[in-house]
Amino acid sequence: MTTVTELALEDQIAHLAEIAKQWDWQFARIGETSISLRLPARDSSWFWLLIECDDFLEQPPAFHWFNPETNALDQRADTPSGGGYFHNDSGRICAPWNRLAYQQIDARGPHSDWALANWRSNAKTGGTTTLAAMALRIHAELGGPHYKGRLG
Amino acid sequence: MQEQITVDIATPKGVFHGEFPKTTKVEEVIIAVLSEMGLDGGDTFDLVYKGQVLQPIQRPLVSFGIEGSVKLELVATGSGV
Repeated sequence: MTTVTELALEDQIAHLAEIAKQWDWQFARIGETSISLRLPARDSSWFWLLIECDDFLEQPPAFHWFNPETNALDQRADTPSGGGYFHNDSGRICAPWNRLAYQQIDARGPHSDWALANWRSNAKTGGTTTLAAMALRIHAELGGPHYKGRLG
Repeated sequence: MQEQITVDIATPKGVFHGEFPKTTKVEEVIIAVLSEMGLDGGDTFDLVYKGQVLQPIQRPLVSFGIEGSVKLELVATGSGV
């Protein structure tokens, strides 16, 4: 039987897919709970994300930088830099709505001081609680003045 | 010159389609979209056009060079740390 959580996730994926289609991002489902998404940057290059949504909404999604040709995750050449969201040291998107920002989940996660269960109420999450909101935030960072190109 | 601006706005809950007079202030657009899309007015959002955050929000759309049909993004502010 489909659960309320599964229905909510499908709603959120549908919203993101709708935006991706109209904004000419590339969106694809990979299995039941993962998504690949291509976003443009200010310098006309593209970045790919692999977004793992298992246990979303209990936990935030995991945002990996992705190479669709090799399927490699989180390589420096596939990772943007600049600003508060794109950490130069860890390569992680540093926000409470990214599961990989939590050191308890990922050794490269910058934060040991955040509680995963409280990701929605973390003041730094703000309104960034849906998949579309998260993608729009990343898109804004890639297109904004803080973006500094690739890490490697 | 057209007095109306046709907008597609990517929001945290999908795409908003609508029209606004070109003299509509950015803050009025944000309020209208939040209401229409059922988004929490307690959160703060920026309206973004071609990578530019439209600020100050008391300025009208037309003052940012926005005319005709445009795509905008409603981005929750939050913060990266």
